[in-house]
Amino acid sequence: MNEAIDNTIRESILSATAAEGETPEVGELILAWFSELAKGADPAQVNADRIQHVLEAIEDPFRNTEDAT
Amino acid sequence: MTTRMTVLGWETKNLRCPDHELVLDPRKTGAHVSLIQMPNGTGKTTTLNLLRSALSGHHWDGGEWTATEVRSLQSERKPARGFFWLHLGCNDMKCTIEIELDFALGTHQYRTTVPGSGQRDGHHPPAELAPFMQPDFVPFFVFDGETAQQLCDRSHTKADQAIQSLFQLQKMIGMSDFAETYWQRQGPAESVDQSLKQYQNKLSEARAKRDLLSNESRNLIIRQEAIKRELLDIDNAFADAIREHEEVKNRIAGLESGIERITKQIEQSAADALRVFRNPAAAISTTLESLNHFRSSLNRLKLPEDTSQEFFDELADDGTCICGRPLDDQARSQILERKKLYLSTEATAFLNKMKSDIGTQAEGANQSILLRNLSKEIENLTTQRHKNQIALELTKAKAAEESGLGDKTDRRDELIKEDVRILTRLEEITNSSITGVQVSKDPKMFRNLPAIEKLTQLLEDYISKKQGLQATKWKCKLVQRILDRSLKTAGDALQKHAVLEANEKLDRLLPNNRIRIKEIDRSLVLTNDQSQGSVGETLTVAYAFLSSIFQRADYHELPFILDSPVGSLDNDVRGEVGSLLPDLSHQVIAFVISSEKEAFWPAIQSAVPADGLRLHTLFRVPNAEYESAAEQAPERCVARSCDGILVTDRHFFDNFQRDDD
Repeated sequence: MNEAIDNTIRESILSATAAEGETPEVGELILAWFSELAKGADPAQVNADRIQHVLEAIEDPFRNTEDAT
Repeated sequence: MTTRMTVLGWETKNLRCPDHELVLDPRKTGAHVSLIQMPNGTGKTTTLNLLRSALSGHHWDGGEWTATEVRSLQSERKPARGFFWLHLGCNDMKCTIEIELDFALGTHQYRTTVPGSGQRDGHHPPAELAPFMQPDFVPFFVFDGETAQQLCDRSHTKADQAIQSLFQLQKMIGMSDFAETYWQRQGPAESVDQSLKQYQNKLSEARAKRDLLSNESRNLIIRQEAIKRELLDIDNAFADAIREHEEVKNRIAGLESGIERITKQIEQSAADALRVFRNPAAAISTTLESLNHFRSSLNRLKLPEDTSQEFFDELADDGTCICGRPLDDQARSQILERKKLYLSTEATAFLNKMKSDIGTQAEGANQSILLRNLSKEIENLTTQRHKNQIALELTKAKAAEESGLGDKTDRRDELIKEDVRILTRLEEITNSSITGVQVSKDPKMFRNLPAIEKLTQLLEDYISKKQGLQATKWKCKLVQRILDRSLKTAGDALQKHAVLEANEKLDRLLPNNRIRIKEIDRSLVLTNDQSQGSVGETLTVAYAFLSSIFQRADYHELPFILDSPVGSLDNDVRGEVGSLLPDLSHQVIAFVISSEKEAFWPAIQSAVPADGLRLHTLFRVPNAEYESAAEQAPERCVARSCDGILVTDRHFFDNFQRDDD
């Protein structure tokens, strides 16, 4: 899926994702987004969908805020 | 899958360089290195510039075309228009980019032809190639001494840019920018945190108010029950006291019995009055007068006797009309048709019944007097009952007083008043008819439980929505941090790798020279404080750097096109560069002049097998000496145009020499 990505870039994205405490799935989704753009996809066509997938995979940090309020 | 861009060839027509068609397609020629020998003045720079323009979709310097620049490309033959066609391969797909130049108007027009899509106006390279066919990247693979200088020039960011473009790291910048705009588009960006805090505070107030009202309601109900119990106790105490005084007891019983009897009489009189009132003609004299007037009118008009449909049926059967006119079939048909407009038998019966009923009503006219009497009787009975009720209360109060329960009477009055107040307040708190509740309202102003509950719900929904937005912002910021960190990490790692690889190449290219790449800080920073080497050194460093990053980025194979690749180099370095260049790319195209061949050409021949090398020589005509030499070449290797000859013969290439090159 992301074969057009240099290993250095792949490792950078995955390690940056882990450093932020997120799951590898989030990193893979960012990689997939990057890969699609690197293959020449039109950002206007893919960005909204791709970021939505990434955001959905990130756990909602305010899920338990209701109790706090 | 690797994306491979290949220059299949190009054609020129009516431009400053001789008209020619060059076929470079490695699939046809089998060559991955093509040397194009063009003597000075043949239009080598023009051809390279056109290649840059066709690849980038912009003027060769990266800007926009001007009329002067368009006209500068016009052939000496002064044609009206000129053309350049670049044939590209993207893996197995072919794409042609055309530039048409109108010399009279000074305008240009791009066209792109892709199999299956036909020809389109504009510059539309295949999507896979588009990231590299940009003005800021094309100079890295259509390369000349100027780009080499800029790679090592601290005032330029070419080295950094080359890595970012080749590995498409700038996509991460675009992604990060998109993440920033994405959450901002979801709602008002500036005040999200502040307004969320504000509404969270308001929700806390609303919840506190809701709890307050709920407690008040519960306490009121408890108090109400206590009042009822206390009232019951007081009433029982009264009852006990009354039971102890026989006389009072009998008097109270008489009063209660009297009240009960009067109440029954009132009910009976009210029922009688209602019955009378159901006949308005009997109860109200003016109504009866109006009905009698209506009945007289019907009699005067002889209705309904003279207008029954049967009359028209009989008339139609007769031979003549009542006016004496003979009736034909058409007249009879009309009479029978129009009789429906007049009264039917059922309607006649209804009118007769109504007339009869009006007559009967007249007989009951004295009922209005009865109604007046009943009304007066109800009024008297009500007054009497009220008097009895007062007497009953007074008797009970007196009995309580005599029994030492006087304070209980006051207490009872207080309790009843308090009960009324509680009922009023409970009605106010629990009334479910609520309107105008909005999140903007101040919870402190609410006195109604359903309303404050609705406000609480609205605020919870509103905050949930806001929190969704805040979560989106938080997540987008997280994605940005990941991308920014990735960009930095990947950029640093790729730069380090490029420096290591390039220096290893420089060890081979410049074994006796200490110049090396120290680091990449926007541009290539050279060691030993050499801010800039000689032209030859700079070019060598640039080749070493570019070959390192091009070889690493093997999932994007791009052609490498060079202008005078060794023109400024010493002979010993030329040989090294000659052996290095074939490794730069799957397709290397070098424009050379005859004088560059020394040292460089043998190195190329050693590095590339004969079938991997394609040699072209293009020169202008007329030129008796070269034309004569070209005639010695095999005919299939010679292509003539109106102003030039292209020879693809190795022997011709070897021996071609021009003194002013």
